Formats: sequence, structure tokens, C-alpha cells
Amino acid sequence: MTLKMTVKNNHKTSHTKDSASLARLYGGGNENRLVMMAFTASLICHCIIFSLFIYVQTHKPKQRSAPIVMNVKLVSLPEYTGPSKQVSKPSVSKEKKATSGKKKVSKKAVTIKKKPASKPSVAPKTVKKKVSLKKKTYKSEKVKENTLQKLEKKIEATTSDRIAKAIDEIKAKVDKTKDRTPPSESETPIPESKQLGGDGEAAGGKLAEIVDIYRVEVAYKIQQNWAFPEQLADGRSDLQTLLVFKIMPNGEIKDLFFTDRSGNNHFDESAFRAVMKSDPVDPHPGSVSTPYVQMGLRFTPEGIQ
Amino acid sequence: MRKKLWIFTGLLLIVPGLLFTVSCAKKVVQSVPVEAPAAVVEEPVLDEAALAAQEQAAQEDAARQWQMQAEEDLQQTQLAEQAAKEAEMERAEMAAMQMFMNEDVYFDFDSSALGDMAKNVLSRKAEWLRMTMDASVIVEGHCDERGTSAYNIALGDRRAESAKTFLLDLGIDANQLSTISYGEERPVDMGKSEESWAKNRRAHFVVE
Amino acid sequence: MESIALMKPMKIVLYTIIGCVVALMVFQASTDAAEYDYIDISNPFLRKIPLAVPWFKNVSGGADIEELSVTLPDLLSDTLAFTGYFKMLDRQAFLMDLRNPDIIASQINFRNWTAIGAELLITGGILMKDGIMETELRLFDTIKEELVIGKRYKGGTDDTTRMIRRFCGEVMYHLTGHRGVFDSKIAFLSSLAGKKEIYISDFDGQNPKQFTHHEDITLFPAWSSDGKWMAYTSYGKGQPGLYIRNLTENRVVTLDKKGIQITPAWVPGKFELAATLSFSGDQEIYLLTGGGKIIKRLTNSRGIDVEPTWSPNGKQMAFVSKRSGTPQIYIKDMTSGRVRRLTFQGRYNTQPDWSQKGDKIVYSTMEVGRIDIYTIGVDGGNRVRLTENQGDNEAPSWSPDGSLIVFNSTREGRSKIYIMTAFGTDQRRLISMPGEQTNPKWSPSVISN
Repeated sequence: MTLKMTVKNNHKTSHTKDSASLARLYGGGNENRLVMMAFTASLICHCIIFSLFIYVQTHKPKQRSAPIVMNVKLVSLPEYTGPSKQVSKPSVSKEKKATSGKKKVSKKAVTIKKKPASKPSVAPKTVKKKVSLKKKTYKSEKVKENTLQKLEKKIEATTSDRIAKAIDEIKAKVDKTKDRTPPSESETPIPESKQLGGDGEAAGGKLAEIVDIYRVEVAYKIQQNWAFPEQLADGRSDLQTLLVFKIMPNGEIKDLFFTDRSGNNHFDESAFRAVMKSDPVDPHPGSVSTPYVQMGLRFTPEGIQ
Repeated sequence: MRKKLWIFTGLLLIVPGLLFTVSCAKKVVQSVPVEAPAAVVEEPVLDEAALAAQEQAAQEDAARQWQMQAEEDLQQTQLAEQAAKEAEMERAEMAAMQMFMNEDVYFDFDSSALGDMAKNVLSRKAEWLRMTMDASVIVEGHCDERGTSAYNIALGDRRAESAKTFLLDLGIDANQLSTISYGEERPVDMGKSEESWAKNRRAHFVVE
Repeated sequence: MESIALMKPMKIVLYTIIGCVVALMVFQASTDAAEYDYIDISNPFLRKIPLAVPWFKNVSGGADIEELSVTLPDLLSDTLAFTGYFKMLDRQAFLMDLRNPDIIASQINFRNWTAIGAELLITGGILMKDGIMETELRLFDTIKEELVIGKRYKGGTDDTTRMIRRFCGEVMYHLTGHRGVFDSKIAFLSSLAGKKEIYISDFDGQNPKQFTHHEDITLFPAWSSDGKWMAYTSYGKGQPGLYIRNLTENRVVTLDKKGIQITPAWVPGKFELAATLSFSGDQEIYLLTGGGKIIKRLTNSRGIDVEPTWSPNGKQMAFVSKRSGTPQIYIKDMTSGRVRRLTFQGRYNTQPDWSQKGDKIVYSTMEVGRIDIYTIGVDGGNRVRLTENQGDNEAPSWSPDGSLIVFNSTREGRSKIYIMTAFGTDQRRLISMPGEQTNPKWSPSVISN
């Protein structure tokens, strides 16, 4: 926008300041052509810039869930006291987008590049994929009567419908992707450990999917263990803490460190604690034979605002 | 013995009759007819022995009351005549004062400005104040329950002041007028409708 | 000349292209910077810190304090739960012998506590020696497996509440850098039969005691910042007059000015207060000494100016003014004398109270006849609604640590006193008394129990 303004202003000043040269300018055919060329070039540039702006703008909200960041939106439950019974199915949604081509360059300053777990070639193929997970959540048997719980229950009630819908949607999509897999593969299930070595794109895609599901499962467990009173956020919803760690095959969490801190110590600490409390997580799925699974989590307090 | 019985019976008839007339006399003067029926009703409940004792007492009482009542009657009739004359004059004054005190000046929500209605009412009040130079008056400013208490006290203060200023402009002596604001603390109508609120947004006049 | 005129558009085109390239490179660079996959977690499962408080250990073993080993941890739990920061874990779920708690780090199996979700653990030991009671209290971080706070208190058995509250203050200090609200009080108005009097209760609404006895309408209690004085308005002498009363000694100051004398607000750290007086015929805010002498006039505009509230450093004063036609909140800078309008949304914004943290002002807005509570940044941004669809919610007042707000609400019929966190969560009734209760004011944190 500002650029455009400057261009206009500059033209204006050049016009008004030397009207004599201007007259000459328009008189000469050669010069006229040059000017026209310049304008055309300028126009093209403008178009590029504007389309770029529009592109950035329209994609901004999606950016969060674009290739790199998986959205784990989970239900809030009143409290956690111990294992009892299964109450609700949280939805875990993950969106993927192709990351090939210069056009798909990320548009936001803080973007994180997707590093496919096993095979980079998977990325372009999976245009948009969602995965659903079923997991147990726990609820206290002895529900204490207090206002907080009522409040949380309300939240639960309002979100559960949405979540149920989302789960169905995701399920449907997953089924579709399954249908698409070549019959030869689906009919003869090759042991997954073998698939790992395979170089077929579909096989690689399946493994990547397994690892991603595993990651989301771990993220879900950590989210369940994340405790953060909103009073400590000081009313800020723009906090962001990035944590990275490795999961050993037995589920042990290792090398936990911050790649970015929010600046709010309570917030960073709470994220750190959530991971520590979750250690050990479930062991790797059988098909994963890498020495460890690298995992990154982005904590933000958006959900509490 | 027979004679005594006759007297006894005679008294038995006379005393209630007397009591009745006494009560009736009272009724005329004081117009509070409470005792008479009570006396009549209570009588039959008593047993005979008690009745005899009561009879004795009543006899003496009746004699005394008869005399007193006669005097009282006379006095009261005289007083009543006198009072009636005074009352009539007073009643007219009181009516004027009641009207003065009962007629409130009303305001719009969150406003202390005087509308035409309010000005008419205040003009009538000014007339009364001019007639009653010795009266000193408190102008109370009130608000409806909406809004918050501190702001409403300030608003009530402005309402009372604006009514007072209007009266001063009509030439009323400042010494006759003082103001107080009650904000939303003393509503006349506890309702929750605009009708009730409108009644509460008022300047109320109290004669000291 | 021509070349310059010619060059200009060309240069611009060039710069534009360069700009685009640079911008793209920056984007590219930033994407390369982070090399991990991140999964988004934006919704904490728990909005409170899970805390375990097992029964206390009766160290001396005597039957005389056996009961306290149960009642004190309950008091401790209730006191900390009040803050809205903690989720008290159910003792039934504890993986331990409830009757024989381990209270020191070397004995505690922290894994047993993290397994049930606890992040913090408070253990206690009580013993009676020569008629003196000792209470040992320890706060543990179960994840780092370390002792955070360890305190020993001595006193009589009737000092236990103070001991517990003192320790709770330590816990809050560790968590928030502020000792919390445990040594504060709440003043409020209670009305019965048309009379309103000031009552004072503990921070948790316990022990309400009548403070004024004017047998009339009494309004607007205001604590001095040292907690020793209370200013208020009462109709005790006819006009709504200001009273400045010492809380312990029987000293009262009144003002000899006509008109209304309302909404006092003490200047932090000083024996001075602001209040609205209308002796001039206009409702203006004045600065007064604690002795009731007028120092100066603080507002200067035709129309209503009421409800002053001071910034914690006393350099700014927010207040309500009708200067723009509707009641709105303004802030006056005391050094420059400049006044700026704070609220622009809504047509009826009153009852401001400046947070002790300094960053926010809580106030009430009336919209379509309903009153609700909002907070707003002192810069006028970040307006947040705290109450909704629950009757009228009025007269908000910050706790001394800025973490809680006390207010009155008609959500259950007649007006009663409620509290909530600074973010509007955990709304609950605070005081149960007959009659109506309104206009609560939280004291500073200096009142001794």
C-alpha cells in the first residue's frame, strides 16, 4: 500500500515540478514508449505485490494449521483424579498441505517448516489429510460440586457436539484415503517393519501417517497433563512456548529443551511440567524402527481466552 | 326477699341497656364503635356466681360512668363544634400543603433538565411558597434504580438543584429552600418497569 | 532533466522488485530457521495447578491435637482454593497411607504424587510441647522433586488459623510474587429495613461484623492504604456527609460543607483522599486531608464528576464524568493535569477501580438496563467482559494482589456479594447474610488478623 502511494506521489511531484520537461516527454515518441514500458512494468509489479498481499491475507488464518503445525484441539474436562471410565472422544485434527513449489513459501515471519518424518516425497502427494484418534479421557468418580466444574462442564457440553462432528468428518476422510490405496497393498498387508525400508510412496506415506498419529497421541497425553491458571497469563493470549524433545522407543522422553520461550516464566514452566509429567509416554508403535521420534510442541494460551 | 329479686332482675336489664347507650353516645362523638358489641358478646359467657359479682361491680361502674360520660359528652360537643370551625380552615390549608408535597416533579432518564410539565408543577409550587412565607421546604432529588448508586446521588443532587434554581428564578426566597439527594436509595415504586422508574425519577418536596 | 524524470519510474520498478525479492528471502530465511515439526497445544486441560494436601502428621502423638491434623489441612486447602489458582486433589486418590503421611523430602515418593497428577504437594506436621504448638509446613515441587518452602510456626492452638494463612501467603508469594489476600478484609454495605450500614468481614467472607451504627443510609466505604482509616458517606446527619473514621481508635472527622459529600478514595501512601463535594453547586472532585480540610479542587468541568480511584503510585486518578453527555471514565494525570477519556464503548460506564497491579481498571457498564462488569487496560485497550446474563453485576473492587475481584450481583434474586478471578472465572458467592449486600471494598493487605 505504502509503496503504491509513494509511486503515485513521485509521479505527481515529477509532473508538477517540471512541467516543461513533461511537455517534451510526451512529445518525444521514444521517450513516450519508455515511459509506457515503465508504467507497464510498474503495473505488473503492483499486481504481483497485491496478489501476494491477498494471498498472504487469505492464508493467514490457515497458516497455523498449515503443514508444519498440527492443531490438537481437545476437550476440557473438569478434573483428573485417576483412571476410571471412558467419557468422551477427543478429536485430534491435523491438516497437511503440500509444501512444494516456490508459491507455497510460507507467508508468515514465524513459520516452521515441515520436515517429513520419513520420506520427503510424501508431502506433495498428501494435499489435505486429517487423522482421527480415539483415546481415553478420565473423569473423577467423585465429582465435587463447585462452580468451576459447572463452568468447565458447560464448556465441555458446548464443544463436545462440535468435536463429535469433527471426528465423524475426519473418519470419513480417512476412510476415503484408505479406499484410494492400491488394492495390492491393502489386500496383502506387508509387515510394517518391512514397509519402512520400502521406497514406494504409498508405503512411506503410511509410515509417516503412523508416526504422525503417534505424535498426536503423545501431544494429547501432554495436553491432558498441562495445567495453567489463566491468572498467570496476565491477560496475554499471544504467549508462545516451543518445546522440542526426543521419544525413545520405550516411550522415555529425552533431551527436552525450549526452542522458544514466551517470556512468561509461569507459562514456560507449565509447558515444561506438562511434558515432564507425561514421561514416559507410550512406546513407539511396532512399525517405527527409528532410534527415536523427534517431537516439537507449540504451547499457546489461546484456548483459555 | 322478693323485692330484692325484682331489683336484681331490673338491674340486670338496665345495666346492659345503659352500657349500650353509653357506647352509643361514645359512637356519636368519637365514631369508634368497638367496645359496645364486645360487652354484649362477653356477657353470656360468665357463670352465675361470677355474674352476681360482676353485677355488683357493674352497677357501681355504671353509675360512675354515667356521670362521667354525661360530662364528657357535653365537653366534647363543645370542642367538636369549635374544632370543626378550625378544621375547616386548616383543611383548606392542609389540602394545599398536601398537594404541594404530593405533587412531584419528574425527569427523563439520566437528566436533570426540567420539561414543560415539570415547570408547570414548579410554578404551582412557587404560588404556594409565596402564600406560605413561613414554610421552609426541602427539595429531595431522587433517581430510578438503574445506574449506579454514586452517580445517582450526584444526579439526584442536580435534580434537586435544578428544581430549586427554577423556584429561585421565580422569586422564591432562598432561605425557604434547601436540597438533599437520595439518589436511588428511596424509590417510591419498587417496580421494574419504565412506569415505575419514571415515578422514581423525581424531585420531591417536603415541608419542614 | 529528462533522464531523471525517466529514471524515477524505472527506479521504483527496480526497487519494487528488489523489495519483493528481499521480502521473499526473509520469509524463506525464517522458515528455514525452525527445523522441527510442532504440534499446537493451545488449551490447557487444567486451568488450575493440581495441589495435594494430605492430612498432617501428629508428631507428638497426643490426642489433644489429633483433630487438628485433619482440620488444619482442610483449612489450608480451603484457603488456597479460594485464590482460584489451585485444584485440590481428592485425598481418596492419594497413593499413601492417609493416617501416616510422609512429610519430608527424603521419605516422599514423588512419583506417587505425579502419578495422580499433583504438581505441588504440601505436607504438615504438628506437635504439642509444653503447651506450645508447633506447625511445620512444607511445599514440594513434585516434578522437580524438591522442597520449595519449609516453615515452622509456634503458638497456641488458637493461633493456627494465622499460621495457616501465613503459610498460604508464602505459597502465593512463591507462585505470584505477591503474598495474596489472606491478611485482607472486605467492607461492604448490608441493608435491612431501609437502613444501610457498613460491615467488615475476613477476606473469605467469614466473621462479618457491623462497623457503623448510624441507623440510616451509609454508603461508599473506602480503606486508607495503610488499612487504618475508613472514609464513607452517611445520611446520619441529614445530608449525605463524609465521615473519616479510625478503625481502631474512636476518632471521627466530618466535613462542614453543604451539598453531597460522596465517593471518597484515599491517595495511596498518604493521609489524603479525593471525594466528590457539591457545595459549589456542581459535583466536583476535591483533594482533602485526612482531617477533612480541602487541599484543592481536582476536576473542573460543568456536570457530574464522581467516583475517583487512584493508580497505585498515586500519580493518576481515574473518575467518572458526564462531561461528554454520558457517564464515562476519565483519567487525570496529576503531574501534567491533563485529562483523557478512557472508555468509549457503552453509554453508561461507572464505578471504576484501579488494580493494585496498575495495569487495569475494572468498572461496570449499563447496557439495555443491565449492568455488567468489565476490565480495561489503562491505555484504553483490551476491554474484557467479566459477567454476562446473570442479573446486575456492580461495584467491582480489586483484591490487594490484583488477582480477584469482589462485586455485588442480583443473580440469585436480592443483591449479594460475590467474587471472581481477575479474568471473570470462578464466580462464587462470598457472603451469606440476611438482607441485601452491596458496594464491597477490598482492603489493602495490611490488616492484622
